[in-house]
Amino acid sequence: MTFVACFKRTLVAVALIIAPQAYAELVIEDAWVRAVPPNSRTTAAYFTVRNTGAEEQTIAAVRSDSAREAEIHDWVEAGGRKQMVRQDQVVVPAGGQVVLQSGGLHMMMFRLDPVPAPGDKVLLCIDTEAAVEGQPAGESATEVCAEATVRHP
Amino acid sequence: MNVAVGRITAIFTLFALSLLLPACSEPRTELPVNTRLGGDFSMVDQDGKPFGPADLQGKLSLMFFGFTQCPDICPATLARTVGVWKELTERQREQVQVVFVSFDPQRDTPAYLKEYLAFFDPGVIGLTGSAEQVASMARGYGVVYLQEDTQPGREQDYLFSHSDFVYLLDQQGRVRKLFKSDFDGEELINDVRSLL
Repeated sequence: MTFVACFKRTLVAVALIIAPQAYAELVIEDAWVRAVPPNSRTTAAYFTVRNTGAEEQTIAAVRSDSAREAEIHDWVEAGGRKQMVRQDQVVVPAGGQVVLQSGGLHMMMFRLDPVPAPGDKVLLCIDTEAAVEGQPAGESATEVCAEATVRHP
Repeated sequence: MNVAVGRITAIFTLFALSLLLPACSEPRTELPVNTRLGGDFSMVDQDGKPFGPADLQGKLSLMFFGFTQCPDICPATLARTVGVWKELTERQREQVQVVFVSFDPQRDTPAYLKEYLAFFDPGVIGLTGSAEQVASMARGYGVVYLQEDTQPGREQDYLFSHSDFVYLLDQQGRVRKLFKSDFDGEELINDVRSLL
């Protein structure tokens, strides 16, 4: 890891500690990122989002410190083809949860930078506000983040 | 009367059992040969060497079509297929090859495939070719794929919608069974062993 990347990660870790997500009603659990070859440009992240509040919440953007672009996709099967369809919004019902898992809803991570290795920790964030272009992960007031481990399925 | 009914029941039971008994000793039914899929093709492997139907002879093949920029189903299926292959004994492994066919030749060059596939196992064969060669092979195996539109400025992030079968080919390169990408590992390994 370069010094800059390490410094950035430390800053994010500190931010996570000093700003506990007490305000957040969304909780990310069981987060992991699929380990892919070092020359990959994409991978997928999986986790469960639990809504502890009494009102439904909508995930409008996702971000990661390891990918230049991230989106939530779902699989749709039609005409013998499986198609990934970008989800602009994902609703998490009050007191309920949404599960992102292989073969279903998943978080797409495009243009990995750097490509995380098995065992690495990656920051994943979900935001109830729509995406702002170029905004790094961990810097929006309305997002909830979690560290995910990169591993083989 | 009751005795007669009892006798008839007993005879029927014996008759029914006699029908079932041969099934107990009969060997497993062989996997049928799928004659509709396959055919001629001309591709290159991860070392840039030509690869055709003759290279599918002599070993069983577990073949899968996908693209390396696929983040979810393709790496998961590759990892699981290689996992099944690794469950075989060393001797069985020598008789089975895993073949990944890319329908994204623009990004999946032989050199790129070589580096990508080595992450799963250096023994995995990767096939690519010209757009026409790939389309022709995919047609032969009934594979459908379609490049999806991207958002403006994100052209390099294009994805495909595609069919996602794993093909079990015998030592003559004939298709013997198709598995969904979320196949049952035990079923696949049993079918592989039945052909060895």
